[in-house]
Amino acid sequence: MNRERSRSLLRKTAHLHANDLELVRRARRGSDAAFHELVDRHAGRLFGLAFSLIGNAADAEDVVQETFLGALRGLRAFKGRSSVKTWLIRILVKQAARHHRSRSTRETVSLDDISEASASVLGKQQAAASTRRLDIRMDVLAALETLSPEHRQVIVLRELQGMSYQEMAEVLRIPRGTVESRLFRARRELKERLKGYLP
Amino acid sequence: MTACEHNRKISAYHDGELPGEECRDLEEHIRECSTCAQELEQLRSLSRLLAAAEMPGMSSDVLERLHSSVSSVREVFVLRTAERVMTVAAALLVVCAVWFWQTAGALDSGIERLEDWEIAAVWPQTEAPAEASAEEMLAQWMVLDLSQENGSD
Repeated sequence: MNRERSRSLLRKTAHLHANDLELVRRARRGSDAAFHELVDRHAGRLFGLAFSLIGNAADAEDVVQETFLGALRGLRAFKGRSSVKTWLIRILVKQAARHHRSRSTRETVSLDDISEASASVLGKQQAAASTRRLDIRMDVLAALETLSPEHRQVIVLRELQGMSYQEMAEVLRIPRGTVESRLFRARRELKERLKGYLP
Repeated sequence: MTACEHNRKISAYHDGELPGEECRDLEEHIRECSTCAQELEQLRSLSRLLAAAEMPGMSSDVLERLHSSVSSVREVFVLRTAERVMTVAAALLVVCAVWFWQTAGALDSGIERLEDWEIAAVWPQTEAPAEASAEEMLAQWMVLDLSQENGSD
């Protein structure tokens, strides 16, 4: 563990002042430490994003891991046209979509659970009663779970990651107008599911 | 709530994505349209609700596991690269060996082989033919023996 700590400290001091793009260049030239620094900088944010797209910590960890391994494989292909953050988020969104597809083919039963969760969200009386933060979080997650992957992506990227329409268009590789219309429809669905919390 | 034709723009306005002039026009409209004002209020509440449902942070254990997996994959990459380099080197060696063997064969075939009659005609015959008959050998032996008996020096 001490060795891990000293390794981490060395990593941090060696690449502390390098920007993301420089870290990618160094990692491409074979620097392990530079890539580890990228992991340190972005893992937390990516984990939160993965969690909100998938809904559970274990799968979110898998997706974040796949994201960094994908980035490692794609280091040479990255041209730096977008920011490193956008590049990593793009990989993560793809990994999460792949994960979602494999999960939906594996677990058809879970649809019932989602419907139940959704029904609980829709109940205005129950929503009014649940004032605790945890309840809100669970209801929001259940509501997000009922959205299609495309709608969930735009909501998470906009509301939780604070991305602009242009950034979302880059990440999702769709026109800006499509981002706008998807976001409008996704919000309409969410408002319906969370109406117990809204004015 | 009856829909308003400006309803779709409220979402983009809420996100600060409407261009300046369009933005000002919509703000004017919102002041007069209760439907759009309510829509905007709902979107703001929805954003607050989503922000309140903060997602769990990543534990240090998860981060360590991530670093470990990255390290192990890097090692595999290095090993694979070494393996590829060695495979290419071995393939080159085989190709070179085959090329050398073929070139040497071509050189061999380039040397004109001497015909048997040519060897027989040109080679100096210093020794007795190997296939001398028994009578010839006996005669030679007798001649040698006699010359020794006569004490020739």
